[in-house]
Amino acid sequence: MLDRRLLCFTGKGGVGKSTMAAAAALLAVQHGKRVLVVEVDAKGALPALLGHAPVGYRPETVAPGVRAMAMDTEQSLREYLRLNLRVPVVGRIGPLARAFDFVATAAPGVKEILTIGKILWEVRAAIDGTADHDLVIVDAAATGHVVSQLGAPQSIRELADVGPLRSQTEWMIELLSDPAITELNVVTTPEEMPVAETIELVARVRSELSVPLGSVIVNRVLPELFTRADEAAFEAMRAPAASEWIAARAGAGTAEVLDGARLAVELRRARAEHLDALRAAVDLPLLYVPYQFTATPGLRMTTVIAEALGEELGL
Amino acid sequence: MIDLADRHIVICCGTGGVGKTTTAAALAVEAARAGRRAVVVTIDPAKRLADTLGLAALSDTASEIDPTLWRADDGDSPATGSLHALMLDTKSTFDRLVTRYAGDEEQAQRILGNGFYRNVSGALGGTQEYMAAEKLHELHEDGRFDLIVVDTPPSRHALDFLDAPARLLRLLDNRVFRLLMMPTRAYLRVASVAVQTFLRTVARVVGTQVIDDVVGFFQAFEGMEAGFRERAGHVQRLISDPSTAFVLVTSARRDAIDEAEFFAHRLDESSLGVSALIVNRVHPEFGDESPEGLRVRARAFGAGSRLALLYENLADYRQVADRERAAVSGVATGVGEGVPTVWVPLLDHDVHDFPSLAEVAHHLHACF
Ligand SMILES: Nc1ncnc2c1ncn2[C@@H]1O[C@H](COP(=O)(O)OP(=O)(O)OP(=O)(O)O)[C@@H](O)[C@H]1O
Ligand SMILES: Nc1ncnc2c1ncn2[C@@H]1O[C@H](COP(=O)(O)OP(=O)(O)OP(=O)(O)O)[C@@H](O)[C@H]1O
Ligand SMILES: [Mg+2]
Ligand SMILES: [Mg+2]
Repeated sequence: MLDRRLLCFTGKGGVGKSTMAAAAALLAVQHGKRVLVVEVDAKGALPALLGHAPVGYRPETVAPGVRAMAMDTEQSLREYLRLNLRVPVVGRIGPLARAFDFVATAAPGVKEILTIGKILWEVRAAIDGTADHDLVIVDAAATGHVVSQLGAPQSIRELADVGPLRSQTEWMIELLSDPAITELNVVTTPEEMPVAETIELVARVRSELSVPLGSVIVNRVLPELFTRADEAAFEAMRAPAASEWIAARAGAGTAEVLDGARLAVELRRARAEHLDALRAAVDLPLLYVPYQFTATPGLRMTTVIAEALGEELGL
Repeated sequence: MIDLADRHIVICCGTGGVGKTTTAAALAVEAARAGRRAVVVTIDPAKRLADTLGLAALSDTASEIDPTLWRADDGDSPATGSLHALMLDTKSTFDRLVTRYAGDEEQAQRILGNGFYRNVSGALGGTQEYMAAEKLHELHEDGRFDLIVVDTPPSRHALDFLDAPARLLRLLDNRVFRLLMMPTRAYLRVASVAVQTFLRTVARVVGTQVIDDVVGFFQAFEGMEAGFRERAGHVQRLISDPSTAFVLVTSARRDAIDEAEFFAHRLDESSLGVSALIVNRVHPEFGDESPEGLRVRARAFGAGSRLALLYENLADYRQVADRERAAVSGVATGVGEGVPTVWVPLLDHDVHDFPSLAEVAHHLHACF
């Protein structure tokens, strides 16, 4: 995974995309890479996961070896106009912003191409060795939007009858399609909706895009603590005589202990069902990241998750 | 307790994945059981829940659910109750709106076939949110229902729903829009330098087809604007009517709670109020022994022993429960004094059939 130049993380809202992007950045640094993390659809949450305050469009160092930026299509447009079309930077933001919003609604792919274009620009710079990073990690849009984002160069190529961008889509598509360069990872949790969206997304990516898929990262996996025999034993322990015997040895609170075990067993069982559905429908490598009971979001938790991810990747 | 006795419309809001669809369905079931003629508008429900609600086929008109499926076992449900459900179909709702306000069939077809229309009428840019509100209005006019429960789309921000009608109006107000209403290409002469540069650039980037589509759309739209504006006004009024309740759903996680508080604040600014806060999927407390204490006990049993695992497991859940309670504390003041707050525990199974919907409803303590 870390030998690529562009790693994207997508998935249903709230499953852990930002967390995995941040964890992958830490892993990459541990393996000697310099990383640029791009937060698309920015909630501004990612830098905090690396222990840093929110950042803007201009990349800032947020952790040793990691710079981060928040995508902003308007800024990206300005940059594009300046660099590619030699259009002087338009002074007044007001009308431009409003007109931009308007036309972006009308033209599918304008916002998307500005997003993916900027990202691929940075990827190309990494390959050429002219950038301060070796690897670009994208905290991408959620499942609903990521296909149109990654597919923007393709749709623009089909749409645009003229213009410099049409010719530019060629190198973009080339980078995006190269398995040695690009990898799209899908983050999910062992729950009904995230699994359903993952299955649907993988199918769509395969049929509509040429972007290589990497792994499905199954996040918030509950540990398998107990065997079936244990479960039966726990239920037996609820009998009055048994619970008295245990209380005598273990002290008060036996009922809570058994309730806790039952919840763990039932949740795990419900999730196992969804995992089975995922395994049956998707033939990509699955990486499992355990549920973190004890940590709160922040650098420490990201470090723990990076470790788990590294182990799953065999790093 | 959530008092919805005088309410005609209930809107379930919240950030993604917190349980809006589940809550909306549970409230509608409970209302029907209490004798109301209830309808629930769901948005992208999980497949098994959709099956339960009879929404297997894409059904964006309300269809009735057989009462024997949802009536309480104890036979306590008043016979007046009925339950309908539907699944929002953004595109066909928008199409119907266009057909309704078009002067004639020809105008409707010109719009429905336009490229720009096809883009805005898809799930892009808040259209789904607006169409949910529009659906609400449709059902309100329908007259068959005395309680309409509406789910909202899985937006990043709960606010998107509130802002949707305004955004549609802003689109119509846009200066560029007015420029584009001028005869073909005349806009290029009158537009300011910045806008001109921009439009030309866009044309160079994505082709002139796009610009032509936009112009074509607005020309076709001519004459319908007033109708749309009026309709958006109606929808907005319905949303702000005192008989409309906003039910805010959140999880016990800090990020979801921040979003809930932010949303409540915005509702307050618009002189709308939060009728209830639902904190969903809260881990049970499992007693009051400290996680640290439990871990000490676990160690005493010897690492890896069954009893140690049991106590470690309990310590983990106790720790999550404590963190959730810390995150939730203060939320009552965050969403406004006196807003009733109910907690729904994390169930050990998904909520996709009537018994489990009733189980959720039981914890909602709603009265109709
Ligand atoms: N393995 C885990 N164990 C426990 N909590 C986790 C785990 N992974 C992520 N979380 C928590 O879940 C929440 C959502 O994670 P994150 O912000 O990474 O998701 P996301 O997919 O980026 O969400 P969004 O779609 O809102 O951007 C955060 O509070 C995060 O700390
Ligand atoms: N109290 C609960 N206990 C256990 N599971 C629950 C509970 N409430 C909801 N769920 C489950 O959580 C999942 C998400 O719920 P739901 O689909 O209602 O959320 P949502 O807010 O509508 O999500 P989205 O924003 O994606 O539309 C569903 O699988 C549902 O069965
Ligand atoms: Mg995120
Ligand atoms: Mg939903």
